[in-house]
Amino acid sequence: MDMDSRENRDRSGARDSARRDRAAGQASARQLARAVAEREQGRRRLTATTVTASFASVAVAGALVAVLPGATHASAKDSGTSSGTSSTGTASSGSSGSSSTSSNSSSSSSSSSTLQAPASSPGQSSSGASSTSGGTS
Amino acid sequence: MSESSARPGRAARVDAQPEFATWRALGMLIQLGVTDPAKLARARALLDGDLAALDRACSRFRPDSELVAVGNAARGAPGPVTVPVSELLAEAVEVSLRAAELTDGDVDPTVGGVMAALGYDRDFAQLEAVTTATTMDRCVHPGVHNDPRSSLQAGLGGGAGPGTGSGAGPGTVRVRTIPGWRSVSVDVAAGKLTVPAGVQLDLGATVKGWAADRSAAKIADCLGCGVLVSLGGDTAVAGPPPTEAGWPIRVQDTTLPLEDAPDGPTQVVSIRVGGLATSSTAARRWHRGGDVLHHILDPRTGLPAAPVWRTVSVAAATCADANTAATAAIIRGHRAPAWLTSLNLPARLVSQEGTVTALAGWPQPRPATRARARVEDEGAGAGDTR
Repeated sequence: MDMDSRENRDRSGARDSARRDRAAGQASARQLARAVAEREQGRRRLTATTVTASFASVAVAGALVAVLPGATHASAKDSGTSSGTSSTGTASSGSSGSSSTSSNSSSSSSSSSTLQAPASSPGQSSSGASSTSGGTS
Repeated sequence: MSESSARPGRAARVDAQPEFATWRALGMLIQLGVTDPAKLARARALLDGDLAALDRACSRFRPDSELVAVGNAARGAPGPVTVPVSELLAEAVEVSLRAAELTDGDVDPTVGGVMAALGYDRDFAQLEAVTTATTMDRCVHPGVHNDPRSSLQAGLGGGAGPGTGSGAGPGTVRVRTIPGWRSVSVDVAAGKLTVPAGVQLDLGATVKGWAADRSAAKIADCLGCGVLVSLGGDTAVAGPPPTEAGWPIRVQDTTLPLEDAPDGPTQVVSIRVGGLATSSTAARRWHRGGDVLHHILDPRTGLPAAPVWRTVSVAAATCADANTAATAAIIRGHRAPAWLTSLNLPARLVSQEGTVTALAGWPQPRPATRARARVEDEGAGAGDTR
């Protein structure tokens, strides 16, 4: 009986040991998998950040092209020297001479790639007019 | 600049009582307003200087203008020509090319030759007194017949020039080519303009609005007050407005002094920023043969745009954009409302019958302003820089 119980204890110990080894191995595998996953996740985050940064760079480049005097329709179109314009496809019409003045909001609009709506719509005026607008006469 | 008058502003006073001056220059009505009456004379001097420079650079009717010199260089040339131009003309051309691009070619600066061929080849005031020849001109669409030699063979090289009339005898048929805006390029920094052979540029659809923007901004910047500049009805404002509501402007078929009674439906609106421009087929009409022509050409046909709208007014961030959109809307006809709405440009369109359509935030007209429409408006009597 003693022999049996010792053998039983020994077998039981061996099983426990094997179980611990397996558990340790599984934990190690899980850690490895987690590490791999985290690394992949980090890589994806990095890629996303890189992409975002690229778009930001392009947007900034486009904005610079739009406000720089001399980035003209023809020079951008014909010579292709303006990398910002060609890469973004925006502001191809360049800036115009109205950039010579600082106080007018028309400067940015006249170089934009679309006809620009006003900052505020016209209002119905109850008072008398101060000027007229009609077909040229 | 033969006539000039100054009058106090009629806008309700909130921050400042504006002062106005009205006179004629470059064949059009000029209106200048400032929120500080003491600065009106200086503002007028600045605007006069700008207009003189504009005339020297961009006039289609002045023989010594830069624009005419470009046309002379292109006339008879075997191919495209590149000429040095001033910064002012280069910028004006650039603005016109941008307008062409943003309207898919509806507003095209290369229609000058056809415009002259149709009889609008001198200041409008002189045009009405001229007995036009019975010349028949055929126009060629862009991209269909673009060989510059055809223009030369057809007589552009020895034919019409500014102020010289068509130069053809009765019954003559001459081919006029609209080369299309893509054949023009400009380098503002280098001061160089390249045009195809035989082209006569017409910057009239964009230059007034752009010039109004420039001058309004410049005067406001120099004098530190609110400014309204209207060049033939193309109106730009800059600086602080005279009232909280803005600058009140009467919109009508033709630009006339406020003292003159308007024809057709009118409406008074106010703008605080940007610009407001009106294009009309009811103004600048002339007779040629048995036809009544107007000055807004469809570049695809070389003929005056179909008479869907008699007047289109547009408000935009700049007067240049408003001018461009209003002219393109006349040419686009029934497609104009959807196009203007898609751009969110507040607009007022008056049909040939006098029905008013308000779009994209333009204030609805009051019933009292719906005056009886008179389709034939003979009130026009002067030309402009076109």
